[in-house]
Order: sequence, then C-alpha cells, then structure tokens
Amino acid sequence: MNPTLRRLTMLLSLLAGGVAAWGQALPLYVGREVCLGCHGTPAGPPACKLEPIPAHDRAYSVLDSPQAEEIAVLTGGVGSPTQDLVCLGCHAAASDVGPRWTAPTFQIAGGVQCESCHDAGSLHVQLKRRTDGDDAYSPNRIQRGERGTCKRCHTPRLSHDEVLKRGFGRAPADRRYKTPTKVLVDRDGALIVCCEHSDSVLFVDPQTGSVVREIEVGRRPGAAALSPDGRTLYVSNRLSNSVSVIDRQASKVVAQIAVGAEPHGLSTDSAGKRLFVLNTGQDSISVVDTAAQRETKRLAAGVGPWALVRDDASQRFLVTNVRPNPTGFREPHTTEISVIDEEQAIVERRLDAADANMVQGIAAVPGRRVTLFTLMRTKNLVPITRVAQGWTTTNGLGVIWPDGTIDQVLLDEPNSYFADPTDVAVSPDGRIALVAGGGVNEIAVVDIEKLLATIRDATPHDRAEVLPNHLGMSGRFVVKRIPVGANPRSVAFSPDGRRAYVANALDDTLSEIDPAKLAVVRAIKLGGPGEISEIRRGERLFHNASISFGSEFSCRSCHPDGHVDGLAFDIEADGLGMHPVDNRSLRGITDTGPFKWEGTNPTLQRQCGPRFAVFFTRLAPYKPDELDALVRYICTIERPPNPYREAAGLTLSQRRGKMIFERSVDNAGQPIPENQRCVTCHANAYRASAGKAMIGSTMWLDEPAEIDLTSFQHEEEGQVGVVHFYSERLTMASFDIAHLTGVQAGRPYLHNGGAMALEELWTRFNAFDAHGMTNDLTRRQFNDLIAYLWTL
Amino acid sequence: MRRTLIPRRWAAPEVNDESSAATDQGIQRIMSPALKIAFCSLAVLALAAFSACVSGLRGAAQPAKTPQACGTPPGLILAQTPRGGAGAGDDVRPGGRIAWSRSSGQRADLEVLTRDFFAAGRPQLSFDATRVLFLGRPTAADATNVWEMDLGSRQTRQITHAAADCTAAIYLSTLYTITADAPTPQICYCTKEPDDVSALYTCLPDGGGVRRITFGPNPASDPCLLSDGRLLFTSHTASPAAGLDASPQNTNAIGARLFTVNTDGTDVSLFAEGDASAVPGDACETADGRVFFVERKPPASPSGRQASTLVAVARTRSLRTRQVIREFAGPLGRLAAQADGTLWLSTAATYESPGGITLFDPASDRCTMLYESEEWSISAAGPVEARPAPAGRSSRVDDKADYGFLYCLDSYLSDRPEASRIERGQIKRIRVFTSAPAAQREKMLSEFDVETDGSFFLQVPARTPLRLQTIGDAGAVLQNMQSWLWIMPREARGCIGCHEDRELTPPNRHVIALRKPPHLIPGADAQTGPGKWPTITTPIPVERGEEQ
Repeated sequence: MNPTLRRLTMLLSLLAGGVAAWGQALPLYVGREVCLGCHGTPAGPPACKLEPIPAHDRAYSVLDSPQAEEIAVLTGGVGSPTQDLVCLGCHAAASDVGPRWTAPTFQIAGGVQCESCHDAGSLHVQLKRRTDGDDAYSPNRIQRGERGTCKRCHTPRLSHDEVLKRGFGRAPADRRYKTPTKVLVDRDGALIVCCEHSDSVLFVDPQTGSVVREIEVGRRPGAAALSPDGRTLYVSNRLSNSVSVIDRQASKVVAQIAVGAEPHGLSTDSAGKRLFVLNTGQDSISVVDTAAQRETKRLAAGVGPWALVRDDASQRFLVTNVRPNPTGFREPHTTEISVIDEEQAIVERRLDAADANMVQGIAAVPGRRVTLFTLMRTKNLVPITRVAQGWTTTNGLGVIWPDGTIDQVLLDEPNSYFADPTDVAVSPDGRIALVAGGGVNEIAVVDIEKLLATIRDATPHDRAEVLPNHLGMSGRFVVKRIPVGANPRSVAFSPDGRRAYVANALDDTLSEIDPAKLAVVRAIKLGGPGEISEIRRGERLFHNASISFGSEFSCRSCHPDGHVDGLAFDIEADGLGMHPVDNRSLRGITDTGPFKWEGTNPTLQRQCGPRFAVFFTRLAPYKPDELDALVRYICTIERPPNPYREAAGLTLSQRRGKMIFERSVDNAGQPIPENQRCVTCHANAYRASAGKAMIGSTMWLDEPAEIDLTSFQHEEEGQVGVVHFYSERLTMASFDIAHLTGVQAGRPYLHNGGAMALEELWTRFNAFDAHGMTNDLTRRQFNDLIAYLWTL
Repeated sequence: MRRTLIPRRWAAPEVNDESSAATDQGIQRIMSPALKIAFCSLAVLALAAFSACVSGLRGAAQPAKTPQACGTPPGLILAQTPRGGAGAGDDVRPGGRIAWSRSSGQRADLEVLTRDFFAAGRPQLSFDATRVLFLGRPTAADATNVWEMDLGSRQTRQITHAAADCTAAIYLSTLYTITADAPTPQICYCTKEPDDVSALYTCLPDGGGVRRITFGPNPASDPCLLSDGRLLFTSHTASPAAGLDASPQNTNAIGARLFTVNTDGTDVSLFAEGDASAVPGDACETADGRVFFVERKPPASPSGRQASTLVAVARTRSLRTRQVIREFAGPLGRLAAQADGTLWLSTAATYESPGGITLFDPASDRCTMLYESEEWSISAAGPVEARPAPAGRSSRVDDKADYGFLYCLDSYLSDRPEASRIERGQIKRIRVFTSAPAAQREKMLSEFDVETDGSFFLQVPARTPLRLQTIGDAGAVLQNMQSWLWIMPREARGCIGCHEDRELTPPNRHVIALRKPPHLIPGADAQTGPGKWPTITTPIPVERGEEQ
C-alpha cells in the first residue's frame, strides 16, 4: 500500500475511535512521520520554520542514561526517567495523555516532535481535509508553536545543572541503606522488619540479632501484617500501590495485590479472610479478599489513613488518619479516627480528635478496652512568634474509651518536647506503653494506669481544656524517656512482653529494650552501610527536632513524608494574625523555584536557611554543610505515582479536561485572553511557570491596610472577602504560581489554604475569572477539568 | 612587699617569684594524685557522653579544643579575694585576683594570672577552655570592666569600656539575625547606666555591638547561660520596705527571683521563685538538667552572717521542682558544675572558718574539701575543662525599630485566685502602664477595649517596662499585673492569658484581636514629655508578681 494512503487509512480509523461524548473527535497524537507526510514535501504546506534539531530527536533516548537517572532522583522521580511524567514532559511528545491517545504511527522514542509544540495533530489533519481551512478560534485549532512554547522546557533546571554541570551523583551508600520503618514480632518471637530504602523485608533472629533472610517486595514497604495463623505476611508497598503476599514457609512473594494509592497500615480480620489496607495517598481503605487476592471493596477514610488496630471486644478496627478533615477557613481542625465494622466491612463511625493532627500510631490496651494513639497538636491558628510553652506545636497521646470518647494528653515537658510521636505499642500485660519519638530519638515509657487515672481524676473541664494543653502533666505518667537510635518510627513488644524492639529508620538498627529495666540492652544492626552520605545526613537533619528550641518540632513535623500536614500557618514575618499561608509539599520541588507563596526565595538554601531559623526554629541556623545536605535530601523527596493515571493514559473525561485546561476559546466561541488560560501560567512539565500571578484570591486577612477589619465578624469568614476585594478594586496580591504535580494530594489550596477542595478554586474564589476563565464551564466540564488535574 | 599568694599554713618555697607562681601543697594534700586522676577521668568521660548527646544529629560535632590540645595543662581556675567577705556582688575587691592551678603533677602550683590588676575576679572559662573571661580593674581609679585572657599566651584584652562597674560577665553561645552573615559569639555582662538600674548587656567578643537586653525597672544580676541557650538572671524586686531600692547592695531588697530571657532580650519569663526573704543567684546547670543556685538571706543583724541555701530545680519544670539541697551557715561564693553532676562550692574565709573550695555531690550529699585557705576567700572556682557550648539562637529583633508587639489570646485565662471570680464578659478594657527607671514611679500609657473573646493585640514601645491591668465596668480594676515585662524591637510577644499557668500551652484559636490591626500604645515621652511622671491615683501594690 502506498505509504500516504496507509497513513490516511490509519488516521481515519483512529479518528473513528476517538469520537467523544461531545459529538466531537478528541485529538490523537499522530507522530512526526504523519506530519512530515504533508509538511515535509516540497509541494505541501509550509514546513516548520525551525531547522531540524538533533537534540530534539535524542530527547527521549537520553532518558535512558545514568545521568538522567540521577536527574530524576533530584526531581523526586521514583522510576525510570523514561516513565516519569515530569521528565517526559520535556523529553517526549504526548507524554501526559498516554498511549491511549496516540496513533500507531506515533513513536514516543521520537522525542521532541512536531506535536510537542503544535499539540495533537489528528484533528488538524481532519480539518484540513474537510474544510481546507483553519478556523482561527476553533477549539481544535492546531497550536501555533510560538516561541513561548520553547521556554516551557528551555529554562534553567537546577536538577540538570547539578548533574550535568556539577557532576552530582548519589553515593554508593545511598543505594544500600535499609531504613527500617516497621518492626513486627511474630508469635514465636521472630522479628520482621520492613525496610523502606532497600524495598525488602528482613527476618531477624531475636537470639543472635542477625538477619537470617531478606525478601524483596515492592517499592517502599512501609507496614506489614501477619495472617492469624502466622503463615502469611502481607506487606504494603507504598510506591507500588500494592500489597506483597509472602508465604513464610516458602520464604517468597507469592502474589502482588493491587490496592489504592500509597498503601500503609494493614491488618487482616480475625478470620484472616479479609485484609484491610489503608491507602494513605488516596484517603481510602481497600478491603481485600485474601483468598481471591484481589480488592473487593473500597471504603472512604479520613485524610491520610495511616495505621489501624483491632478492638477484640467490639470487633471493630480503629483507623488513624494523618491529616485533619477540611474545616472552615482559620477554624480549628479535627482529625478523624475511622471505626470499621469488621464483619460488614463498612465504616461504622467517624470519631473526631479535636485540635489534633498527625494521628499515626495506634495500639489497644489489653484487658482495658482502651486504645491509645499518637498525635500532634499543631498551633497553626496562633502566630508562630515563640518556640516555648508549646507555642508552635505539642505532641501527645490520645485515649479512645469504649464509648468513643477521646481524651488527649501531652508527652512533652516544658522546653523538652517529645517531637514527632510516630508509633505506640502496649505491653501484653497492659501495664506500659512505649511511644516512639521520631524527632527526639527517644522512646517514652507511659505507665498506663497512671495515665488513665490522670484522666479519670480530672474534671470534665480539665479533660477538655487542661489535659490536652498542659506540659506538666506528662510527669504523672511518663516514667522515663529511653534514648534509642536515629529516627525511631516503629515499636513492638515480643509476645511474652520481655522485650520490645524499636525500628530506628535512619541508622539501620533495631533497639532492643528490656521493659523490666526500661533500658536498651542491645542494638541490632540490619546491614546498611556504616557511612553517612550527604543525602542521608540531610534526611537525618530533616527528621531531627534538635533544630528547634526545646526540640519542639522538626522539618518533618509539618512535612510528613516530605508532604504536607494540611494546615495553613500564621508566620510572624508578614504580620500577626494576618497573611496565613498554606503549607506546601516538598515532593519534587527542586525545579519549581522560586519558593514561598510570595515567590521571594530563589533557592531552597534560602528557604531553609536563615529565614527558617529566625522565624521558625529560633536556634542557630544550619551550618553551610548542614544546609547543603538538607537541601540535597529535600530534592530527593519522592513523588508517589499518581493513582488517577491509568497505564493506558488519560480516560475520556480526563482527556476532555486536558482540552479545557489548554483551551483558547470559551464555550461561546469567544477567544480567551492569554492571561486567562490555564496553560499560560501552568505551562511547563510541572504545570507551573516561574513568577507570580494575581488570580483574585486576595481575602480577608491578606491586605489589612485596605479594608476596615474592625467590622470584620467571625461569621463572615465564609465569604472570605474575595468578592469584596475584587469588586471594590482594592489592591490585590500576587502569589507564586503553584506547580500542579501531585495537586490531587495537596489540599487545601490557594496561598492561604482557603479552598478546601479543587472545586472551590472556581466555585468560591473565581467569581471574576481572574484565576483563568472558568465561569462559562458547565458542571460536567468542571468535573472533566478536575479529573485531568488529578492526573498531574 | 608583695603579699604571699598562698595559704600560710601550706606555704612552700615559691618556684618563680618573678612570675608570681607559687606552689600550693594544700591542693595536693587534699586531692591525692589518685583521687585527682579518678576525678578528672570521670569528669572527662561524663563530659564526652554529654557532649555526644547534646550534639545529637546536628552533624558531626567538632571536638572542642581542650587545653591539652592547645598545649595548656588542665587544672582549676579560681578567684581569690582577701579574707573578709566574699560573696555575691563582692567579687572584685581590691587585691582580688585570678589564679590558675595546674594541679596535675606531683607538685601543684598556683599561678596568678592577673598580677597586673589592682583587682580582678569572677572568672569564667570559655567553652573550649582556652580563654578566661573576668572582671578586672587595672588601677584603683578604673572602673571594673570585662577582660579576657588567653590561657596559652597569658595575653589580656579589655572587652568592655563601661563607665560604671561591671558586676558579672559570661560567655554566651552564638546569636544570629536575618541581616547577619553568620552567627556570632556573644558575651553577656552586667552593668548600669547613670540614673538607671543594673541591667544585662550583650556584646561581641571584641566589645562591639553592645545591646542592652533587660529593661525592667528592677536591677538584674548574676547571668548564667542554660544549656538550652536561654539566659538565667536574678531580678531584684523592689519592696516598700526597701524604699523601692532594689539594688543588690540593699539587703532589705527582698523578693528577688530568677528569670530567663533569650540572649537577644526577648521572651523574658519567670524561672524560679522560692524563699521570699532570700536573694537567689549564682546559678549553674549540671549535665542532668538540674539548675542549682544559691539563696542568700541577709544577716539578721549588722554583725550577723549571711546564710546560704543551695537549691535545685529541673530546668524543664523550674517552677514546680524546687528542692532545697543543703543549708550553709555562711556565705557561699559562685557555683561551678562538673560534668559528672558534682558542684564546686566556693566559700569565704571568716573568723570561724577558712575559705576554700568544696566538691559537693548532690546525689550523696557529701562534701569533699578540695582546698582551703585561712588567708583568702575563694569567690569562684571551676575546673579547666572544655564543656559543650549551648545551642546558639536566632533573633527576630531589629534594633532599628522602636516598637514591638504584645498580644494575649485570652485575658480570662489566669491561675490567680482573684481571676476565678471574673466571669466571661466582665473584662471590658485593658490599661497599660510603664515605669520610670528604678521603679519609683509609673504612669498609664493607654487604655483600650478588650475583645469579646478576651484577646487583645498591641503595638508597644520597645525596650520599655510594661505592666497591664484588666478593667471591668465603671473602671473597676479586676486584675493587676504586679510585675513588669518588656518587648524588644520587632519582638512579637504572645501571652496565653493573664498570669496563666506557665505550663499551659496556647489553645489553637484564631482570636478576634489578631484579625485587626494592633492598638497603638504610645511611649511614655509621647504622653507627658520627658521627666513628667505623675504618680497614678490608684496605687499598685508591689507584690511578688509574674514577670519582672
């Protein structure tokens, strides 16, 4: 067949398959060869003005190189650069739509192609053939490929400069760390350790302290659970979105079960027939049929479900959630404890832990029908003007009583805080609880009877107002703090209660504790390299609270897993009580500068250096080498795979959403000014661009000089003042253009956290189309747009 | 003829008269070589463990330069004053001197380091044990200023040039501000300006960058750097009986308490209080986090003796853990902490007993005499050994500004008995007072409405003593703040309540006052002009309050 005819036939068949519900065809990427079929001939339409650029041809192939791998690491990539959307965003055409939206003629290996600048070509071809004209304002118009398009990729990239100019490469040790994040003790006393960095599970002989077996699982195993008979081990793989099933007798992985995003805590029911898996990246709970080894049901959790424990008496699971549920603007937060009915596999009840966040570890107290959980009480509504008297954050324990009542107490002492409590374990006799203090490298020993007595003896007022806020109370029930290794994240008792084990994530050891002596009796080495690389050092600094006065908080306290705690803070520098700023994720931020919502920090060194010390930690700033190590680590904080992207590419709804994102005309066919198009500002591979933009999001508390806030009433906060600022033509602030990678996991939104969901960006805060033209969109179009944004 | 430098009864031939060095067999006799070796080894081990613990994960800690590393032998530094009364505020008497005993060999020798000074005293070793900070007067006509000596070269240099006598000086850790290139080490000293009370100042090691950091109307003295980087000091509360003269020399000035303040002058807070009839001071912190200090009671009669009580509190819960460790019939000099938790107590020579240095172990309540002298009082002594530098601090203070902020989340929160009678809604207004130097007069600066949730937010003059009143209907005074605080330039000081429980953390609420601009509180001069200090019509009872 004539090649041209073959191409045409192929196109027509693809177009037929691309007809969408709008009655329109959605564009497909056809590939360079098809474009050149017309534009590359002397008789054809004008060809590209640019000369062929060999580097564009190689753009994809260079991703398969060691240097590209190092660059990807510095952008938080977790897989091959050839699969990484951020890398592909510049190194290949059609990367974000996926293979579903490319013709067989399209080859991603072609690198940067015609359609990289001019967008999908199929409709262009179709229009040309049908009308022999190019409707300048057609929604399907081929993009012109203006010079600005080049800048989307051809801008300085720190990640590239570090590798290509300064020769950055990970140290050999960076590939060999274990990073134990979870320790289990089986009924025979054997130790099972999930190691995050080595993507493996270690089996440790408790007698000799030696690693007897290591089994590779999925990416970033974070938690594990045994079947009731102890024969099967389930391991959640946070970056694989799966659960590895290990047959312990065979000592091998026998199955991988797909679950939701970033699975963490998991547990079987009492019969071992169901496995409950907490998808911390997707706010859901997968219910897995263990026999069929597949997910059968998905439950809605709170925000960031983390760990769960079974209450034997009620046959309920209690689930912790890391981040608070959405509340009103500048309103106190609450974090959910989800209660699951084991038999029916439903969320039966949602308990509120008032003013708490970072609710993580959870353990039942045998014989008492009481459950303990770890928590932080972050003071995000109070200006961060002091780091004393628990002014910035406090750390404690929650107690859940059988009727669902929740009490909270602090584990801190005045000016000696117990930063980042991450896990809790209770001795089999129910006498003591051990709490891992990840930020202070200590284990707090809690006398449970004294703890419960303290609560029981308090008045209702004191239980509500004093105990959760009093730094002196811990002296009544914290009987000791035991120093352990670096960054303890998990603690577990042996079945006989004679030993407890602590997983020290950042020195690759377990601390063995004698509960009778309340002392560490042995450090068990898990086999990681002894040396400390720069990235590892930075990781330790990130997780260590000694950076702040009294060890009140670490970087991790507000950026768990390098992400966010879901809160907006009141920082002193821009006025007390005013200018709240939403916490921003650190995942993959290397190339997204400048930093800060005001966009005033050009580098992470500046962001994390002097300013951080003066306005946050109040201690001496990092030394230069410490700061470099910290920044290096931050640059490697991983971007989890997006759960809303299918391997085949965008769904139909998502594809429509992408077209809305990139549209240049509105629903009435009128042109949209360039500065009101989504893609103008959210342009590059991160869906961002350097600089600031005024998007009409100025609210109450943003510009006190412009309005009389003395008449500002609490109940008016619902209006947040956006309309007032805009309609009165008051001075509006510009803010850093946020990158949209991982936006689905980053709520709340806007500079001050005023938007609790993406929808609110347009339904509450964009009355005047200042944040892109969206007021003409239908409900369905909004849904499509959001569906697309969630894939970024 | 030069006075002999060593106790007469242990006098031995001077080994180097030109250098004023002398052998002091007394030290050797009390501390046998074996005991000294064991003692030093234990101290070094404990110090190493503590250092490793403190350095934590802030990267590989740089080992402190020890005297051995610098070629200088270990030993002890002590301040001697002629017999007749050493004690607080009496460190730099004529003839007072600083000596160094390198008691590591078979023959202990005592080298006077300040032979060129008319008077010297109150030595403090640098963190790396290579330098000594001390108070010195080169001649009788000179004021007492802060000096530093390099222990290796014996070279001295003058750091401060204050007109009035300095009464204390200590090394601080580093301070960093947003405009600085790097954190800089600081020195804290105590002196006073004309017509003002004694206050704490900081400066750079070269004497530049002087900044006053305490501004209460009451005198401040006896600074001590805590391991967490805060500065502990004594605030001498004036009393009517003392004629409002709260100077340390006024033995009737009762009610002194210990406060902490950050090294940039921010966040002044009550640290400890105890015996109302005693003056606490001379604090030091041991490695286990306990802060020891001496409470001195004035003599019952002019001919009587000053009694001393050794008290300890936990640094983290200082208001709740006061423990009387031991009573002493006579005056105690300065304390020095060993890394192993033992204390060096310095005592004055009196008619009844010789002066000396006692090693006190709080755990066993045992005292071991290290050195005694019938001729000299020992006002201070400490081992020549490196110690970990406390954490440096970062500061928001902007010296160019003349204002700061003070906000309160809920003025109904209080642990004072009278507050329990105040119902929500009763507090209508807040009054702000300031004080003239020396606390003899005060006046109202402003009065303003409090928010319905009890919050308020003020922009106040910086470096100014402030005191507040809560006012109800018809101007009734509901609560008096019976002490003073100050705000440093650009400091934003938050209060949870009005004299709330100091261990209570703030509730996480966006209070009404912080949704509005602050009330502007004018400075004293803006109201009545300099020198006009009308006595307020409602006398404010001066009692033991919360802040200085």
